[in-house]
Amino acid sequence: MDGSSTLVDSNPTASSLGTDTSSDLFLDNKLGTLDAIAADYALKASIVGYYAYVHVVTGGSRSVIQYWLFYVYNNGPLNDHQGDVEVVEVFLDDSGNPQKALYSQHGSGENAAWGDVEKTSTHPVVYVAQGSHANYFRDYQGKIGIENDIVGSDGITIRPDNLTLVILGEPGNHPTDQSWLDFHGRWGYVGSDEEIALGRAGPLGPVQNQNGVRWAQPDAYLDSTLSVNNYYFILTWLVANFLLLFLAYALIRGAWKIYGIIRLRKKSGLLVKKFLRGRGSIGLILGIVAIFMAIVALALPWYSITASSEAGALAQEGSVTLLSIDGIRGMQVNLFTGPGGDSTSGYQTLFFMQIPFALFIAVGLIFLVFDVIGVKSGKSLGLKFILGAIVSLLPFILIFVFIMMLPSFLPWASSLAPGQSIPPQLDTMVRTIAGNPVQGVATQDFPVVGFTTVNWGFGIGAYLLVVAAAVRIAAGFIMRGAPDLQEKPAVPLASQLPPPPPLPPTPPASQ
Amino acid sequence: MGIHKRNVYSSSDTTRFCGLFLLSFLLFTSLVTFSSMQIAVHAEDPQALALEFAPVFHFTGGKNSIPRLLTMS
Repeated sequence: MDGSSTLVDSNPTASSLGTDTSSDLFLDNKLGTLDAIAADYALKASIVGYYAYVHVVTGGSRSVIQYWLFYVYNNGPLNDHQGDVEVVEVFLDDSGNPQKALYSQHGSGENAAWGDVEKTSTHPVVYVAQGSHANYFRDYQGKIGIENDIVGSDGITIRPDNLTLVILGEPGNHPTDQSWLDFHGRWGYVGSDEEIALGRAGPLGPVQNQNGVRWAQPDAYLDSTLSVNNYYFILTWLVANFLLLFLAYALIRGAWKIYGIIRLRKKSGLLVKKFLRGRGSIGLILGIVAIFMAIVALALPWYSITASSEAGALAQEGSVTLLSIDGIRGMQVNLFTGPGGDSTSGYQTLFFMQIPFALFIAVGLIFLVFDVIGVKSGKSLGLKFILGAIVSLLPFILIFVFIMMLPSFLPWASSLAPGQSIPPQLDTMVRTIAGNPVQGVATQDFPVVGFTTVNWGFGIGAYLLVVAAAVRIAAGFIMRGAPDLQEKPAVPLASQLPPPPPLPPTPPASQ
Repeated sequence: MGIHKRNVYSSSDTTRFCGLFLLSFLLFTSLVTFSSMQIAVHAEDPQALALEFAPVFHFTGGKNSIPRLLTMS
């Protein structure tokens, strides 16, 4: 307990909570830390069992069944706090047939038509993410989107017959032991405003969650979530298995190139020595220089956004990095989730930028060696260099587009901290950055941290990547200008041709 | 001897059609009533409804995971 709060009840119960209707209250787990809470719960697990709290909402002839779930601690990739409240909803039509399912995820969720929901008999299957308890339709999800959840099915399984279902009443009209429905406070420790903004506050209860929308307005909640279907699941599967698919592709293509080298060696012998004796060697040396430049560029910053402010975590010497992109670590965002919310920890890798650019470059280098060994003509090898150089510019283009699209991610950022609205200054700042992705500086006066100056722009790594591509393109053109490696039958010179047969004598002109 | 044309519909056929129509109507109304009863049963027994669509939860493993649902009581 810090100095910003006062203890009002040292031993609250489920029945007594209903009398505490102030939204300033919060429940603080006496055990405090995740390890202590988890150990305590593990001891009591066999006694406590598994519970889901059911709330049925009827609107007209339709019904929605809400399964509310409570956890003792949330230690997901983004939010770390005591207590966690999640919900799974099944929407029934006027005949009682299920139409849709909605699974909560952080401040938002996903919904799918009942036909696209994985089921066991009539029971929807839910994959619960590690630590964050975000709910997913498939066990390979979680890699698309800001949450970057770890999702699988290698933990325990809780089936309906292991689940105690408690039917909930309504606020102010419920059994005595459901008095907690009227508790307006948070189900976990709440620190400073800054900690709330960083997602370290306990959640609000089911009735108060997200201003009561989830509890009382299931259709409004449904509209605010992402609609997914089987095509989306295929996309998420491809993303989840991207590395594996890329390696399979690289193995097949590499094997094909080796086969080509062996075939060339048997047929006419390798032409690489001849290629290196001519202008091809100059092109190749330039190409190798370009590859090394690209390798160096991997470790250097491609893009960064830094900030400094008058107060808070950003009020430190120099600027604090908010976002950085490079070829080794991908894209990282500083969420200040480290100990004490300092600026040197809490970097999280997010989004699709987990694509291993280093692996791409390494595989490209191996292919380059194969291409040089199996070279048949400078023209085709030069073309490969030029095309490869254009592809190597892709990260630069992707980053440019991503920064331009930053404003569209603001609603996602908002969904991570339910109940917290995005300051208009942040909105303005993000739009300023998106308006000039290449480089810039801007200052805004923020509510908590005061005047904040933000610097952004492409780093030396990105520019080196562009130079490397230009050198590689030049190398490609030099190779294309090299003479053909294949021997062609010599064309005989006119002087070496045999003399033409003598012309027949011209008959005398008739008189 | 003469040529006779067979009547396609006889009075007995008409009676049979009427019977079939009545039977279909009864079957339809029975189904509607039965469905309504199902809805009514659901409305009156939320526990049965909740159990029918109760999810199966697969938790992700890992040492930081707390795969437990917490009782409020």
